Amino acid sequence: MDLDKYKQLLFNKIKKQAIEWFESGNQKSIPNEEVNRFLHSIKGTSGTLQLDGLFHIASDLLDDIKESKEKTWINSELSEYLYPLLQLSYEYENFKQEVSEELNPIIERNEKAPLIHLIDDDVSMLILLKDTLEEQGCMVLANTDPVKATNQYFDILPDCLVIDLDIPAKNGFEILQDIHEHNEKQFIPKVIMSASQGRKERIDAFKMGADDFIGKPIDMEEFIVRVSRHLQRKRLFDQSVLIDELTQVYNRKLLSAVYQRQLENASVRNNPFTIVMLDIDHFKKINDTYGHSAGDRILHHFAQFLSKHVTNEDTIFRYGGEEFVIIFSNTSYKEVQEKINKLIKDYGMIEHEEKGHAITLTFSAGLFTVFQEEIPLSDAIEKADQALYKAKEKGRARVEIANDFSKDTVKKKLYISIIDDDIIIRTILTKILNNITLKRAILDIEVFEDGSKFMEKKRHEIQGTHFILLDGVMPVMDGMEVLQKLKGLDRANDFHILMLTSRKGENDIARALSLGADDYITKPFSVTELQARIQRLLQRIE
Amino acid sequence: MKKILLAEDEEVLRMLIVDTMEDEGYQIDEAVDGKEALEKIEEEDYDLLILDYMMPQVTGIEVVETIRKNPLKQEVKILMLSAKNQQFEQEKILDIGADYFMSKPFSPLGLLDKVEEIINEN
Repeated sequence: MDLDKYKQLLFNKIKKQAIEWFESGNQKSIPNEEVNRFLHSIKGTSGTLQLDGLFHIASDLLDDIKESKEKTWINSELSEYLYPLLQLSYEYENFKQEVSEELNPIIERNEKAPLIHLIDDDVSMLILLKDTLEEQGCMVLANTDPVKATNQYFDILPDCLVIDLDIPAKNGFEILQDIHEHNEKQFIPKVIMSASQGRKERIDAFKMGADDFIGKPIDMEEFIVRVSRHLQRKRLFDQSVLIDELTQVYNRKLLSAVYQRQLENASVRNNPFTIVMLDIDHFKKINDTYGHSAGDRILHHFAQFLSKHVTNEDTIFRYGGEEFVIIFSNTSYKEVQEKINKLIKDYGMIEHEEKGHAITLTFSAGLFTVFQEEIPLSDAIEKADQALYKAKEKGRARVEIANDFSKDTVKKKLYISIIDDDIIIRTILTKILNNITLKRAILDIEVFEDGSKFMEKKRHEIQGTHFILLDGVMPVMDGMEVLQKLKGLDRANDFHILMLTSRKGENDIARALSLGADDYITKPFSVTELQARIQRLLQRIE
Repeated sequence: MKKILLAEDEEVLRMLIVDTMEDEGYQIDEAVDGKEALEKIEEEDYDLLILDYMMPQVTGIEVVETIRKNPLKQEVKILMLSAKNQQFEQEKILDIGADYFMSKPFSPLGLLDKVEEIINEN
């Protein structure tokens, strides 16, 4: 029996209720009785329609509120409460299957997904390649604009670059040349695609730093295999050359490159970072008493301990002997100090067993936060090292700060605007963004029902960095118009725009990208995927 | 042709049941609550009443109580739909004068089977 029609009616009903309660953003109070009735009716219907997930969520929510008979809800509070139901209803409606079971693999895929930077001015091709690569589990940042490609490349440091040679505005060679001139330190495989496959083009491409040359028309199956081979090589390379064999953290080779990147980031964007020098206390005694293999085990364990307790944004290096360096990106001394203090405490609790003895160890640390100043690595290391020395002098198992000032840096604001006429999508997007916390920036989130409301409120006139989630198709003023207006401003670069488009709207995608959208997402989207993507984009621009 | 009345306040569910029954060749009238159900029962002789337990204003239980007091309506069969599926609730419903009970959520085909079973009993 085909239940789709009735399912759709139920989704519409949920949507209609959401509009009635949450639309227009004004404070409104809703009696619990009304909520109770709504949930009851969703529960009653969804079970029969075999929407088991909705049935269970509605039942759980219903059980929760049964007690609070006299309660009245504020609409914002209620929208938060009903969020799981709204999200699931959206996912059922758009994917027409049991979504809840699929959530886990999606999350996993996104956390470790290789990032591919794709540049092609041919939009159909771009969409095809992006879809194909995303099906393979990659995350793809696609762009038709070769001019901003280089900056974007250094911003995101992808795991692989795929670039079309034949872009009229600025061809693939020029982009390779740009990247080359930036004195790139990382190994990032670069794949050139080209319709002209003459001997000269191929040789030139390789000379410019291409790692692969794929002729058009592209054989998709071969394309996938080749790109995934590059990704494998990239992984292996990252691991072998730059990793310290004993401790499995980075060796010193990568330190200056990472430091340099942080420095650029700090000066251009006013983002501080912190370099920490750590040293295991009385390590020599371990070696003398229990032998060098015991020392090696302790070092290996220490590095693993550190790795477990820092984020992916932070990088650990073995500096030499029992000395380690951590670069905490986008973080200033106060935060790092707290973190290190906790690490010292936790590490001190661990018992190591050597030759039948239970040993506990501590470490000391010195840290130095780099704000905007152009400080060479050697100086920064020296400062952190002096602070470390001070920590040792003061009795070990502590952390000292090399910076000699007391004022803290203020987090800057990042202006987020959600512009979409669909209440459910607005609710989902708001929820996603509320869940994101950034190290260096506070999110200032506002929601707009259409483009003209956004412009009327003069939101775009606020100075600072803006991130805008923009629906392509809206009544009154559609997303394209907003996009065009924003990208026509002098400070167009302050606006990072993620376009929401429908899956079939190839022309819309093309137009959006040509108007300067930074990325696009097709509707319907998976909430988890979108969350991962937004998080990633925000971390790059904050 | 067998005539059925469905009283169910939940619109989507009501449409689904009506469509399902009509596809099977039943003549089915609908009521959005207990009050409307009582009015329709007054005017028409149905073979089967399908009543939702929880409805605004006049509940399914009240409908059953009212019509069982009417000597002319003793023959009509009553199937009660309820989310409460505890044993004593079922017994209570049957005590009051309903003949059959079906717990929510039910599948549309399950309901159809039940209806056929009831109709074909005599």
